[in-house]
Amino acid sequence: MSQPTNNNSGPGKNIDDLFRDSLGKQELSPSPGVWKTLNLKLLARELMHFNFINVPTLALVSVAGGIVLVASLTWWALQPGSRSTSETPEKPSAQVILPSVPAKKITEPSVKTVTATGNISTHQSVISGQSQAVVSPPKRSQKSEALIASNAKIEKAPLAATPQDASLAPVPVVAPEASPEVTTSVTKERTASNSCIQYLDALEFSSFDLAPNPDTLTFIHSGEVFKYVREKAPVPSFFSASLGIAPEMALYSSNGTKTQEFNYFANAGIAYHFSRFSVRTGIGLGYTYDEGNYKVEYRSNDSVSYYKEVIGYYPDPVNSGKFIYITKDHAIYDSVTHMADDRTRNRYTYLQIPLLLGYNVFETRSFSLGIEAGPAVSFLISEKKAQPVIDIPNGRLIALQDYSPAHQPTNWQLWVRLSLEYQFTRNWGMFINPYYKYFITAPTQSAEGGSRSTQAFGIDLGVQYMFGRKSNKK
Amino acid sequence: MVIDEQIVKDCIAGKRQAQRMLFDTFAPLMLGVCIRYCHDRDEAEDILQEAFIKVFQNLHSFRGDGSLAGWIKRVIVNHAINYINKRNKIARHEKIDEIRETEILDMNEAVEFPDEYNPALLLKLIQELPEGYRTVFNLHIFEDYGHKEIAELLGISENTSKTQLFKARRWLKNKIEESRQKKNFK
Repeated sequence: MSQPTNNNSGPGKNIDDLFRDSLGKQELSPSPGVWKTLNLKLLARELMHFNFINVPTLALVSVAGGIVLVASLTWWALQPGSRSTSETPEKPSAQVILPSVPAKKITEPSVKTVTATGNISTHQSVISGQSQAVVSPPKRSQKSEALIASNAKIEKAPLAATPQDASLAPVPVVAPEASPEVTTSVTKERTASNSCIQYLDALEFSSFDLAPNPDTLTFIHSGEVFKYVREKAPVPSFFSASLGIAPEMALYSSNGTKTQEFNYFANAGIAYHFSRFSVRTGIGLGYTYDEGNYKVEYRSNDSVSYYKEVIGYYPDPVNSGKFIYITKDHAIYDSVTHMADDRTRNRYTYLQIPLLLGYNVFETRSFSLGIEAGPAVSFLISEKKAQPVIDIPNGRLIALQDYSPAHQPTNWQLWVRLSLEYQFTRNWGMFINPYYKYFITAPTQSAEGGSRSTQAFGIDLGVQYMFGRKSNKK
Repeated sequence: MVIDEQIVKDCIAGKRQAQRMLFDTFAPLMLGVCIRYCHDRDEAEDILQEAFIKVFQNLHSFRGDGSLAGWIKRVIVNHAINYINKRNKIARHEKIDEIRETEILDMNEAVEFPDEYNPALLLKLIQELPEGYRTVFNLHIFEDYGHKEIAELLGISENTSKTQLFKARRWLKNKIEESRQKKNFK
């Protein structure tokens, strides 16, 4: 490769040799900080790729301990005992005095229906007043806690009109043990509409369940059966904003060749929720990777054959008149052209905008499970191609051609994802959304011109804040 | 500088201890390479750091045809060239355009020098070379690149490469002559 230009002459050297001999093998010890900085840079790169191989054990243990500690504190904070204090003030109350009523048998009871927006799924039925079907004494009647919502109302209905009525007849009656003078809390509307309903605080009584339907509570008072029905709440609607990261695996396929790359997205989104439905959009910034392919043509002097040099001979002692030749093999070199592949890893930055429609299939107070689907568009905003490292010992580079797949400036995708949410406060929650992306338009084209089918799987993890949410879900 | 094959495998697997061993083995020689392309040691250490990241990232592509030291050196030199190109893209182009107009000079100039010069002083002279001269001089003298390869690597013509090399030699020779006259050498 070198072109000899100067020759040593005389006692001294030419300028090339002077420098080559003096500095060609020069070694300098790097400062101690060089390795430290290099170590940190390598570690940062590894963490970006979720590679924890070089994270010190102590750090891993500390992080794990921290996670356990935070999880424990969160769990403790979310216990019903600690949460009830925040819910109590919301309960409307008005104190009434429970009149003293003798027990008697149920005779031709009628059904009265109370409707309310409150949650009574855990409540028990109450029987009091003049009827003989009275339940065990109240447990928390002195706490003056109202357990029904403010807009409760009472309706009267024939006993035979509800299926719960069948359970009323065989119920054994028990005299009330509690003092009739029980301070309790009910709503004003309710006391105004029916002053007999004064045991509503005693909904915590452990009595027989007259109403297996969690939305309905039935009780008997003064020989009348009252049915407490949860009124359908108005459709809740609110906005939410979310931040998350999404590691994903992209699968590329072209002409039977499959490759896969690990990509990362940082997502910010907003969503509008109404009832169990939602509409979501946002932006995501993603680092995606793809394999670069370079065809390297180079020429090197290779041994292509050999010849034998006769370096001596002597008469054959066995066969007279013949000679035995002593030879030495010499390789014949020629410049041979080679083709080689060099693979690199290129990075592409995308901006993606999805539009997803969602439906919550399952909801509890803290958890919800839903499904979301919709289109998304991605824009290629930058690409960083890694330079190939060409190492050709004793060779010469002839040509270097880039056969890396070409990434399209825009592509469309169809997303489907599961939405698993957990609320740790009324407004804050976290989500884990496994998703699948199908690329409607191929994001890349192979060097030969054919499109490459692409799919991606990933998990979107993050937190969300719900604006203007009135209460936790049921 | 013999590195066990297992250490190379461990480096590819990302094991830091092996990477440290590889770094400790080759860093002194490679810093000697880097410093020839830079103005000062700090810059050379920056290049060394970044280049070793590339070494560890691309070590899997080392096919084992040649020596590992040669492969690392090539990565280091390529990175140094990229670094310089990014830093001085505009300035370099201006100088090259100017030189393209010059005639091709005879490259076979033979000059004799005594061989007792202090390497530190010679290194200082290289670092004082104008960047275009220095890069071509380093590639040709120390890395054994031909002018065609230099031209491809730097994006210049072969004639420009030859001219730069000639001017680098002349510049160095003059400096050495000046120093000799001042008796600062030897």
